[in-house]
Amino acid sequence: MTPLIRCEGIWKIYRRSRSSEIVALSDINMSVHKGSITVIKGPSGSGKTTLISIIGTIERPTKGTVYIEDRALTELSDIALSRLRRRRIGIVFQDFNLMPRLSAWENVSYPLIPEGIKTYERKKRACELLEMLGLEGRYDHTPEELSGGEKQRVAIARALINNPDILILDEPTSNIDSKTAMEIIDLIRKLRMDGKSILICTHDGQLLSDADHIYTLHKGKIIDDS
Amino acid sequence: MRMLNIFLAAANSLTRHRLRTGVIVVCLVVILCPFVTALSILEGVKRQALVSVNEGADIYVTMDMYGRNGMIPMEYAKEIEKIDGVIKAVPRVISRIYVEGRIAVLLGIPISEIGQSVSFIKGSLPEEGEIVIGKGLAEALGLDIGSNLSLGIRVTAIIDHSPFILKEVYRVSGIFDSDTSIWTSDLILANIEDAISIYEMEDFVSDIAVYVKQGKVVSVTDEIQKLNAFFRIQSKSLARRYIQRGFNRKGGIFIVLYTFAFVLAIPVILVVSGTGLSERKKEIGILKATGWQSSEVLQMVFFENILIAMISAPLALILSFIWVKLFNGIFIAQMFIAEVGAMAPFKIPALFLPTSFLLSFFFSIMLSLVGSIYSTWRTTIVPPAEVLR
Repeated sequence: MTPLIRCEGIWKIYRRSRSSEIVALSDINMSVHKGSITVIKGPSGSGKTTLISIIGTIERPTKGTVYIEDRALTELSDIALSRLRRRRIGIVFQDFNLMPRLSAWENVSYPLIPEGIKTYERKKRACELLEMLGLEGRYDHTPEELSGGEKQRVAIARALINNPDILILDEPTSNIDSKTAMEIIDLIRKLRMDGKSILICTHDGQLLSDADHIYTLHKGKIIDDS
Repeated sequence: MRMLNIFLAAANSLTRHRLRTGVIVVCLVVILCPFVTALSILEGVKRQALVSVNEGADIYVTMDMYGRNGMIPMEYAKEIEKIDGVIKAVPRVISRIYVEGRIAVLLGIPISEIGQSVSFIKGSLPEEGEIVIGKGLAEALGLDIGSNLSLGIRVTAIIDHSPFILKEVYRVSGIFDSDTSIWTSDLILANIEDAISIYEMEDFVSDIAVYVKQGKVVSVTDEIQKLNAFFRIQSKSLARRYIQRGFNRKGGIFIVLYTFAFVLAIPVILVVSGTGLSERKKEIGILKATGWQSSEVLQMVFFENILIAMISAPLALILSFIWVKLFNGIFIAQMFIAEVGAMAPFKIPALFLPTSFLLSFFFSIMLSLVGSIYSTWRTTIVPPAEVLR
């Protein structure tokens, strides 16, 4: 079966000066299949976040190519990459990256603004998603009025607002309590059932047990592929 | 709909960052307000000058003296009046004069002509040995109707090169109303015989103002020139052209100087609009990561600047209107009207033209755009992950 996402020879090198450079990723080859949960695990600083950022098209590799359905991302323009992120990829950041001055529903609906959807419709869609994620009555709260778990769910709702087929989550259970973490894991399972392809960076054993494929990263290299 | 959405997002962004928006608006208003005020005063003075020319004579005749205006024998007034098409020829003495160390303008015309200015005068017309003075002069010297004023004339004895000052005392018979043109503020109006005797220039006047029937200016000009080849003739249209050229030059110099000030203000705006820059950068990173295109982010910032200009420019206009109308252009009028202190003794003329508003709107957009669009563009071209890191 052709993988949905394919990484070929991905390198990421951060150059600090002419003589100093950090190799964050070296020669990464991996794939993500449609409707699967793929997990990338590894210790801190192993390059997990860099890898999913490259796959999520918010970071460019120094060398190598990411393919989504055989379409090389390196050949895409900035506009095409933005369109891809808007329509097909939802990203949930480890530290949520919510806009502090916006309410929960506004944070969720912001990606719909350039789509030309009316405010009323945007709010309706955002509130439906928030309700589905158990945040009814919290629509008008700003991030600082929400708990860690609630912020996580707002971030997930934002990632899902455009109904993408690829969902990328960076440590989705690391900043929340165990009860909320279980709810998030249940949600991820449900999303997989809905046919979404999910790529997760995590240490969480529960999530690892749900994974269809696990890649272990160490010092920027894949050391295990199971 | 997409544009409207982005526009509304921009408006929302401004209200969310109230402090930042407020500081930028205040900075822009502080920069724009003197600009709009100065332009309006400049236009007001220019209009008043043009009105004075339009209401004045059609032709002014002097003698050519070393390429400049020189005195003209008064007898020519009668000869000019005989020319076909001439309504009247009025001899005038017009000169700078020193009053208690202050420069004023002395205008001497026949008493019959002074009568036409009576509506502007508080008091009565000047008889022999009497004068009418401007309100500015009256206030500065503490004069009222009935007061005596000694006028000093700097006279240079050409032969022995030793200057001396003549002094004569005149009675103030009237004061020009403050609502008349700014030119009357420091004016001393006397009958022509007195004016001539002040300067001891018997039978000579500064110029002859000629009023002509409609359509006869060219033929009358030709006829006047035939009277004396050394006549220097200036028509109303030429005076209008001189005034317009002078004011346009003044306005142009002012705009150029102010543009320099604007350029210097840009770093200030950059620093101010950089307030909350890290938050703004993060916002842009989030927008890009969630699928906004760089052009859409730039559109939002552009709309923000349009909105800021739409707030700042009218605010600057309102404040400059208050500055001129309520505070009579205090501290700024002296830059455009000669011999006026910080507080002008007369009503400062001001004209608010749409071009002033458009210019301030344009400068407002330019300033705020320069302060924000470049840094936004720089952020949008960086991969979102790098911005969010």
